[in-house]
Amino acid sequence: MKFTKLIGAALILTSVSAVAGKEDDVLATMAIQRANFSVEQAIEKVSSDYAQYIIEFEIDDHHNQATYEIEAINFETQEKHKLELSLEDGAVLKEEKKNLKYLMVNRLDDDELQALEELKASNFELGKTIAQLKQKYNAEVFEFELENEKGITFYKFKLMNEQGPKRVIVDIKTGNVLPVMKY
Amino acid sequence: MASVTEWWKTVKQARSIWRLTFLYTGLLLAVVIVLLVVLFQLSIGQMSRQQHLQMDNIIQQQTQLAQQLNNDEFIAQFKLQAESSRQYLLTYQTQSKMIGRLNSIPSNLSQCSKLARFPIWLDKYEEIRLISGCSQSLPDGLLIIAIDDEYLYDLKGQFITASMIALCLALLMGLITGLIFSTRVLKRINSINKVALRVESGQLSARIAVSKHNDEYDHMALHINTMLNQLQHSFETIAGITDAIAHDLRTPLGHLRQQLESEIEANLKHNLPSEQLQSMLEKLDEILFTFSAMLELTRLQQQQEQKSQHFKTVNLQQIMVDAVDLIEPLTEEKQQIIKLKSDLEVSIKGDASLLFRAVYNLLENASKYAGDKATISLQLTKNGFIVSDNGPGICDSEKDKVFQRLYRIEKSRQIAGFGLGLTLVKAIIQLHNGSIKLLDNNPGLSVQVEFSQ
Repeated sequence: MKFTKLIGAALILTSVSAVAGKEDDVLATMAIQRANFSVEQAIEKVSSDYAQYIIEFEIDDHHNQATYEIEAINFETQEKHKLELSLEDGAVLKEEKKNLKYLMVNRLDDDELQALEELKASNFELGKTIAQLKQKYNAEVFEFELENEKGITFYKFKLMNEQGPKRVIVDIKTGNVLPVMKY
Repeated sequence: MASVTEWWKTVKQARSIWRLTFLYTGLLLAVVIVLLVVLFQLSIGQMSRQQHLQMDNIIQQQTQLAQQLNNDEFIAQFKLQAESSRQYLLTYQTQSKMIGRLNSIPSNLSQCSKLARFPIWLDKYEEIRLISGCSQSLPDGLLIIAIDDEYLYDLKGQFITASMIALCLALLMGLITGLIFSTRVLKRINSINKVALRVESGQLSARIAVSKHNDEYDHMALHINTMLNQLQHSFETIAGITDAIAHDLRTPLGHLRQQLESEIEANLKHNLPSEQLQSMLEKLDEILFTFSAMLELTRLQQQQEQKSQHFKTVNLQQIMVDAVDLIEPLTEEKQQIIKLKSDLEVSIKGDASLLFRAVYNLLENASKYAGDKATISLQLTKNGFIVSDNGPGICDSEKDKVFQRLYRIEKSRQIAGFGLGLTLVKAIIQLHNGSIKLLDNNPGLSVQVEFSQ
């Protein structure tokens, strides 16, 4: 009897957290729609002022204020930057940077390093791709990250439109959207 | 430089061992490769071929259906087919919509039945899959058929890795076992060669060691040893006969010589002509000289071991200077130029008087056969010496024959000689563990002597 209760509680928690996750995505999209400083502008600012290669992007909050949380790599200085930019005016609210190497050991794993090397070698334009995705899917890009899997380096974008959240994978080598298996 | 030369000599000696080893290893690798290819074709190759066959069947079936059914009917059956097929990912693209498992067309798709690999995203498992597929044009759209063959590729990769390891092991095993086998075989062949070389240099008592294995090599060694016993016996018999003849004939010939000398003296006292007797005496001296040379040759060829025990360090440079001094009157008589190049200090273990005879004989031969106004050169080398001239030389077919006893080249028969000079020189050089070669000097002859000590 006790065991059945526990399972029931776990199922409720799971469904609550799933709904909470969806709510977060909706809130993030709403924040972007209301922002004065766009995602493209944030990317442009970080790329030109801090580090060229952006590996992660999401919406976070800083003292109850929505921010763009962006992680980027600067190969020249061998540093990893973590920045929080205001959605209002693009002001840098928080800045952290770490050396890529700590005690001669690289903080990035092999997949991350390969992904960055391929990104460096490619002609991929992140800002342009985001603009194209927004137009193609009539959606807002509210989260993305750079990944490497099975030798393929790609950006995993999360988009939100009227139909709900959507995952779009873009191969950085070809710039093409990967097909998704439906079922 | 010297170490490189030594290394190269070792390499040349070891070449047979490696040739056998490589041959054996090559055969072993070939067998392993054939086995791996067969294994691959019967396992992964077969699975891959079956997949292709099934894909071809589906393409054929859908093409036929597309021709037989109208577009709506075709789409309805395609939906059912795409949903029911778990192994194959079927997608159909019309002008307005995508039906089936994939939501878009991959970029690098090729025409069926040529397959292309491309990545797709699995939302359910949040992962990338690499699949193989192709596209086929149908009357009202494009059919895309693909298969998730990642496991087959992984299997191929594992097979290749395992094959590489197997080949490396086979290579290692082949080299080790081949080397051991070749070394053992060639060691025994080389021991036979060494004995043959010793016999060739005059040590007729040399015999091949026979092992306890009683194998083919031992049988061969026994046969060769028996042959050598017979050969030694024959040589000893011939030597004995030669010695006996020489001893038996030398005494009466000596007496004959004394009588001739006495007769010549008597004739001279009585002012009688003695030219004929003088000529007879000269002929007799030639016979006696030939006997002495033959006896010495036999001794040299058979008493190598005893002789080499009494060898002392000899300065070759000094011997060459002395030999040139002695030959100079003869060369001046023929207006020949003799050049001596002896900048090196070369010493060997040997018999100085025999070596002197060898050098002198070669110079004498050069002076005798090179002709008037010829240039004769004697050069000391690191391991021996070279006597060369610019005379008529010796043709290739006769270069080996001139070392035989009493052999004379046809065109030189008018020049005095017994055909024992070069035979004696060769015997002396072999007694000193050396080799003698006759080479073309273009023009003339070059006699190259090298000592291995």
